[in-house]
Amino acid sequence: MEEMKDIRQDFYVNMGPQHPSTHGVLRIVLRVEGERVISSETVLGYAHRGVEKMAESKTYVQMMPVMDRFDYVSSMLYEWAYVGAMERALGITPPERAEFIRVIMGELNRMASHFLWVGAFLLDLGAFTPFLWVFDARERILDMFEEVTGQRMTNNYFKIGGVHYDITPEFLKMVDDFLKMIYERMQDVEVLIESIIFLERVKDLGFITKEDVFNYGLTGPVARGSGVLVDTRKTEPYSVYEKINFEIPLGTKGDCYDRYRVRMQEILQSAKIVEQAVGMLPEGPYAEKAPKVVKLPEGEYYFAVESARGLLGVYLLSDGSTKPYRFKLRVPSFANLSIIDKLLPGNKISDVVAILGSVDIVVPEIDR
Amino acid sequence: MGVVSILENLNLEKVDKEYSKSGFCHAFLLKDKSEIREVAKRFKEDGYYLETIVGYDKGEGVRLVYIFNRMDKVHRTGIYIDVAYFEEVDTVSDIFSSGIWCESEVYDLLGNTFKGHPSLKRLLTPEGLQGYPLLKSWKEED
Amino acid sequence: MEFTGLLNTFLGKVILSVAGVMIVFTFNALIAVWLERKISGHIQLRLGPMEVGPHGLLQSAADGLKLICKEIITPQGVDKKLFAMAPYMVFFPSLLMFIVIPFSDKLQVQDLNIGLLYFFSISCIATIGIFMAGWASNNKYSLMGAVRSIAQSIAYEIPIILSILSIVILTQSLRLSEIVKAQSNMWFIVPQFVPFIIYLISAIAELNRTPFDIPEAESELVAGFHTEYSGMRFAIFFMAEYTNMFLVSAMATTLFLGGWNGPVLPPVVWFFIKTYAIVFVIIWVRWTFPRLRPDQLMNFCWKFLTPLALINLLVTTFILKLL
Repeated sequence: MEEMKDIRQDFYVNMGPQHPSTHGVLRIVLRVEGERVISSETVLGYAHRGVEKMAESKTYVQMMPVMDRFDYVSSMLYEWAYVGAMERALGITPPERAEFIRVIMGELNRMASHFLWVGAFLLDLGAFTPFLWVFDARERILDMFEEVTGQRMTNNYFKIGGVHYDITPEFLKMVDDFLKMIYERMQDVEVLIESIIFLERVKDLGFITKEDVFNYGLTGPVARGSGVLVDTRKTEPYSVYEKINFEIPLGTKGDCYDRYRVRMQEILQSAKIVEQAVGMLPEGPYAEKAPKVVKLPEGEYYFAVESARGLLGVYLLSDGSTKPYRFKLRVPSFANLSIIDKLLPGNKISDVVAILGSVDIVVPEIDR
Repeated sequence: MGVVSILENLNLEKVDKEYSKSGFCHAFLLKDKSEIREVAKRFKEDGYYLETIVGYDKGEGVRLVYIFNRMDKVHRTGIYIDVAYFEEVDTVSDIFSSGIWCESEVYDLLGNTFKGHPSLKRLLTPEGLQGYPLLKSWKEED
Repeated sequence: MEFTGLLNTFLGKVILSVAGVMIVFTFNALIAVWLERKISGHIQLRLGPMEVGPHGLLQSAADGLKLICKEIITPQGVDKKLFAMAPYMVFFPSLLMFIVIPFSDKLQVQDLNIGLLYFFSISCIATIGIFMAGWASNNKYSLMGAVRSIAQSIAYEIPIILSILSIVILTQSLRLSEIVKAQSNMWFIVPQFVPFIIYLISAIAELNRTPFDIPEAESELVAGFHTEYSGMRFAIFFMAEYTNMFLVSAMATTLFLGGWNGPVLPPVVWFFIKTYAIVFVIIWVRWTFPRLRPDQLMNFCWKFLTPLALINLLVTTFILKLL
């Protein structure tokens, strides 16, 4: 009887820092009573590399490859933010062809990130097959990247004034083939995923209200799933997004299912954007002349892009030298993760994976 | 979006900012740092959210930049406050919940504590680390 | 002539039965695992094993060899006797269940007059083995996994028994050979389609397979009851699962799909075709669906399957009484 009482009292369960699925090195300490979570505490810092301090002793150009390593799942969007901040400071505008190439690459990155998210989310829930179906699509995107930039991930493709290499006709053909198959593939994936078992696991779980969105500074699909229209491409248009027609999918209730549907539809919207951008691609140079030695004039510079997870901001404070005085990254997963400690209590242990998965975090960008 | 009208009655000094050059629409230097809570409350009422808090070592102290923004249309406003090293600042974490982790990060990297913060502790750096890495005076131990 | 005389002695029959059961069991262990990997591969847009043997046919043999050669690690603090005994406790009931399966009208080890009852009673003994494994592992998570697994097994026994009771009522017998003979005109799946579905779902739950594989789920916090087992002992748990899959499908064939009845081909071949068709469906279901939460699993059993099976039983008896 003594032992029975022991089992019923609450005890601490550690989730992580090693995970079976691709969440990264994150540790959540749960206090559970039986199956129910009473409180949770997030422990960060397992992937802290001190990049912001490191940036103060490196030149602007030396920091470029490091930007890829924050979010290895969709790296070019991070390069874009950094390069955009520097271009703002130096007053350089890239040529139109470069802007369209950037849009194409950015949207392909967004799709790659969402593919990985769908696969990992379903893997957490126990369905093994969707993971492989979407990874097939992601592999095609990575092959496209390899064609143009020479690498599959962490491409180091953007530079001040444009991009490093021009896109090849082979790349355009691959994009064409990819766009032809993606709509059908996403339909198949949807039919496979949305069984009643999945819906029961994911509906009416982890509600995020509109007040939460403003309070916690949530952006990206997490905010859009609750019905708040916040997308940097529309509120703060950069590059050539104003010339392209696309919609922002919104959810209604703010549960895990809405966030999943928002991301699924964003994949299709990104495909539309890529189609339009390829159609509007002008001829011309793919990079401006940029100074050999990059010295930003004194002052603060901020550039925000819409990454796959939300608003990504790069803050650069320059004192006129070749090295930044302060480099700060405003990372969407940082704000998005802070709501977890509010969402988890009251749910069962099996729901923790579903809720955490639906928030879509990448830990190296949180920890920097 | 009457940011200027919101803030005109407070003790502020306007800093010139051009959006296309710097990414900020407005920036204000708050001379009396205890008024940061007032300012944050005004922003919250007007529908802004706290994007992030940037802190940096200015040489004679620390400058904290609170970046507020809107979700419907960009209106990025920076509020600067200057504090001394390790000085305690009023928290805004009860007004904006995003401030909880942002202020923990500032404490972790620069050493400034926040009065009224629910759980101020090191967020990113390892436990047991001595010192605050982002200060210019921080020396790496070998 | 002398040989068949020898075969007819009791000892001869025993040796023949043991040999037969071991052959079927080994054959199934190799083929079922290979089937699982090939089918899952093709569902997932990939090929599955292709290297070892033509189309990976020898892959299971290679895996078995590897598992045999692995070091048997007994963690500190476990209850040594229970820990060593548990895999066999889970495994031996499966072998015992082969005794009553009618592979054909002549190939049945022992045609007990309580064959059906015997089959399902013996299968419950494996639950004790699972508890032994979880308890002896001296690991909080193994124990939780074992407890969940047992709760699931016990709960899903009820719909299984209720669904096959209607078959018993139709044939008025628990003897498996008679049940198969009664289906020579029409398979029981036709009048008893609902029990067939209930039986299949409950059987997948009994096997602890997705969508009911909470006790074994790796992406949950708790690992299964067999976490602390490695090498040959793990292999025994593994083989027990695939043997049970075969046995459950064999029972479904016997009760609902007409057993060894079928034109042209020899009865044994029909039996295996039908059994492996059910095995295919079980594997197919595993790779399609995500898993249920433990409370959803229990709710589904008690609030949906059991009442449905009871209603079906009622309707069957009613109709039989009226006819």
